[in-house]
Amino acid sequence: MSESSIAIDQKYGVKFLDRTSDNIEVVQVKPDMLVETVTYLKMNKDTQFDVLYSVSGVDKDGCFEVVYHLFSTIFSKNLVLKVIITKNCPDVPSLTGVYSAADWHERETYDLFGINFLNHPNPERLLLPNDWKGHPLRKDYVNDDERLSWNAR
Amino acid sequence: MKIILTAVDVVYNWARSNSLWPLTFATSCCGIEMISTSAASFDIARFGAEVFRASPRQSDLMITAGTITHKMAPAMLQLYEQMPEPKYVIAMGACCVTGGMYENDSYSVVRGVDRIIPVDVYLPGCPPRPEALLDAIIKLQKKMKTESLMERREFLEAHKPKVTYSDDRSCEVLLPNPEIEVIHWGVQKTGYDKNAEVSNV
Repeated sequence: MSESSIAIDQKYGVKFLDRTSDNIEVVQVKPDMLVETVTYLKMNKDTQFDVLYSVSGVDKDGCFEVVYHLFSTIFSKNLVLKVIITKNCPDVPSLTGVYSAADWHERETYDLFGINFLNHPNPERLLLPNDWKGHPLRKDYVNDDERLSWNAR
Repeated sequence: MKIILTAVDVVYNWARSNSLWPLTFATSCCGIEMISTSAASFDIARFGAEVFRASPRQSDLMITAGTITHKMAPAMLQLYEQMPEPKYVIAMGACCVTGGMYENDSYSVVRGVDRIIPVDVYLPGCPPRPEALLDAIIKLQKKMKTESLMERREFLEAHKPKVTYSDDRSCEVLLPNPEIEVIHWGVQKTGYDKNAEVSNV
């Protein structure tokens, strides 16, 4: 089956990408349509994805991916959303207005990948010290902070 | 004078070595083994160390049970400095001894607490069994019973903290201590070029 079984309106411009081995659909969403699409998926009575249980980032060759995992407690159904953004301008709208669970997940993704979540209420680092230099899970990250020279091997 | 001091040392050492008050300090899975050691089946109370204190000002033994990250390091140094003398440290677990499995390439983990505070007993294991922690405490007690106050001062002078706080309040990591030259003894990485191109696959 190469088509999505979830009826998402054509106006959102959602593109069906893949289906995982445990039959979870993966769809690609445009960054500027993300909040509208997710609000639709949460509110529409045929989908009702009422849980956001993961936000993560992937550093691909030439782009970043932000991956959202949604779950519907009504239909017991999973959905994976992918947003592909450029490395020069890693901006994505925040989902904290739709799911409050997105708050810390987005802070962690910002912390480790440097992806900026626009309109986030508290866009600070979550795990690392506030004055840390760089974003460690990027492929081109090198830890050369002079202040931490005492910890060299 | 020396004879009197030695006699005082014997009584003093006997008293404090049989009544160690550890600090409740556990940052990861070694803490579970530490809790297990203090619970009924292993019973750390047999060696006089059952009074786990929640305040560093009332404790004289720090069991650093778990991984220390750069974010945790200033808090740990502050806790150590808040403990009254004489104070002792057991580095519990592989992460505290050398950095453990994070030693090779981690960006955030301190490679051994002995880079921050003086360590008396190293206890390897991932995590060590409760019996191993009891053994470490017995070894520490033996050490305490055979040392004198003057020797302890020399030991602390030789193992001063190699790091220092920043004057800048916005700096949240520990800085190298400019007064001490740090000699790194770890395994050197060979064939690693910092400027080499990283392939994005």
